[in-house]
Amino acid sequence: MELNGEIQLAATVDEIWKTLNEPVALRRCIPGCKAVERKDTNTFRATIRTKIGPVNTQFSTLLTVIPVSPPTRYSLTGEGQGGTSGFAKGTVKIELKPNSTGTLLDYTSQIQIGGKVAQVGSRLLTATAKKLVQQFFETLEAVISEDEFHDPKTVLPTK
Amino acid sequence: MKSPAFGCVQPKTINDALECLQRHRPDTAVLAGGQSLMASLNMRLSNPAILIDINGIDDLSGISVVEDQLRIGAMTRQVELEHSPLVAQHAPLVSKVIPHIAHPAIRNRGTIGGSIAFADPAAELPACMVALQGQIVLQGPDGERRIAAEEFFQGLFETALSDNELLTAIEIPIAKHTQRFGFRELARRHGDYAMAGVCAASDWSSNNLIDLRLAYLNVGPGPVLAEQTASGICRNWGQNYDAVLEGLGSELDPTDDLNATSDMRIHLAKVLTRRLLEEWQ
Amino acid sequence: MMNDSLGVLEGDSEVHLTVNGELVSERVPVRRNLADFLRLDLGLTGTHVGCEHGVCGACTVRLDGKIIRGCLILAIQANGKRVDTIEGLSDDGHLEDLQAAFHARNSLQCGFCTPGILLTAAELIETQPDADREQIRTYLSGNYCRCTGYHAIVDAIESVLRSNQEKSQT
Repeated sequence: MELNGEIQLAATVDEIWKTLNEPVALRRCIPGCKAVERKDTNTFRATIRTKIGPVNTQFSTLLTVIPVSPPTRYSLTGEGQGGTSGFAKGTVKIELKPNSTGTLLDYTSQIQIGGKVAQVGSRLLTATAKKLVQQFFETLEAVISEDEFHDPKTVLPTK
Repeated sequence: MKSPAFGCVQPKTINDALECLQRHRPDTAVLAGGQSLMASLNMRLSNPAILIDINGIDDLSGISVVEDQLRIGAMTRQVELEHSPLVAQHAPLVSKVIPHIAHPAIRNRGTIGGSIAFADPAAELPACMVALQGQIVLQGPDGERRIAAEEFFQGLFETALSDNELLTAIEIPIAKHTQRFGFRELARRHGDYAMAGVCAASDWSSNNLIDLRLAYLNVGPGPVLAEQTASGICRNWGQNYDAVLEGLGSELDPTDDLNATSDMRIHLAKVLTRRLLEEWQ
Repeated sequence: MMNDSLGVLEGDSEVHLTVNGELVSERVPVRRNLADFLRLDLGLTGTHVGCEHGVCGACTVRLDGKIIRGCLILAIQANGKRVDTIEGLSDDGHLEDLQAAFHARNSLQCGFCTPGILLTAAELIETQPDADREQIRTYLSGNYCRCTGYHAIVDAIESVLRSNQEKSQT
């Protein structure tokens, strides 16, 4: 399935770029993520606990960050194995466009869910994926506004 | 297709249950009727460390009228609601809705509290509570609190219930003699999850429709209250409300699935609403 | 034995319940459901396991007199309760009329769904003695049959309802 959208963030392109490449930030943003461990330059292993309705299970995901065209184009691919529950594969492509109040983050995502969770939960898949993607970006917005990822010296152009 | 291993506690009182939730959070699951949880465990979609079986807590059962409220204990089985004269008299919408829930064997175990706490978007009881302006009673370490059904359901399987709280009862304002209720749903087979459904509660003054609440199921991440459509129908009662009904789609938020596309769901919601309203004309 | 209601039951636990009128005491895995308990621990294989998530009805048994899904309840939850299976209800003659009607009208072929259907039909006859064909079908909507096409099943149940009505009129 495809999930696309855009979100206006009160931050600069560079701040967002930095956050998206930081494992600590990814751990905060990915819903249910318990730990993110870097494997090499662009690969991370994340442990995720999903608790949505009937699904309450933990699984491991391999995340690949592809800096397509720094600092404005970025892609994040995840491939998760949910053990007996099934699997999920997804790619989120992000484009950052600076504007007068910060940055417009434009995302397109392709998500594939298979196995038991897809079979049994087919009526809930789109709604669940939508919810998780929304949660990711909402948390990103919150994380970016924190000092750790936000350079207090940055001055955003006023409207 | 066998459940994974878990530990199980069987508290006998509400306070003991709260103690268990506190002790073992967050990796717990509360076992009420089990008609959704057990299925999920059997399919290994769910893997909680501790199950808290609340079937032994007597204080969670019972249907009674307290002042102008019908109070229903969370562990009241759906079959009890089906046959309760108190429910038929004071919350007739619940009596209308219950026979549409799954099948008799499921209703003999399933509970109203479980259905509300689980908040399946296709479930009938959550939409029913929103239509009836029910209050959800929660109990936690800081005591009891009440939250309006409309605010209780917050997203896909998301409710205001915290992982150290128990849903203990539902309170519904008792039906006035000026009120009328309706329910329609469409499912492929009897007992299937509905493709779309609507719960309606209305108030009348000498044949005039003065208030209407329309709560829909399976057209969004939770029950959807269509306020604009309902008030539009009220204003146009006795005349043509086609234009109002056309706008229903903008208040709903369905997704596509194997059973229906979101467009089809919106269409079905309009058809069901029309059929329901025609009963009152 | 200490009765600590906050103690966590893990691994195996003891259950004491009445099955088909007999007191039974067994040690079972906490995670075992009632249908598996009846089949594996008690050898009562008349209760069948189909979908294991409550929709097919093959595991239908009686708990304290009401039909439930054996796959959707833990064995340990049946502690202190009464369970009746197809074996018990058949042996004590409870299902005699239904069984004779099913036999006469060829309402079973492979028989996999039959125990669940008989238990459900018995509850229908008890609770809705005036049921019509539509109501029979509605009550049985939670029991799947792959062989018969349901028609003969509805015929058999209807014939029992009719004959009960005639008997109560004489």
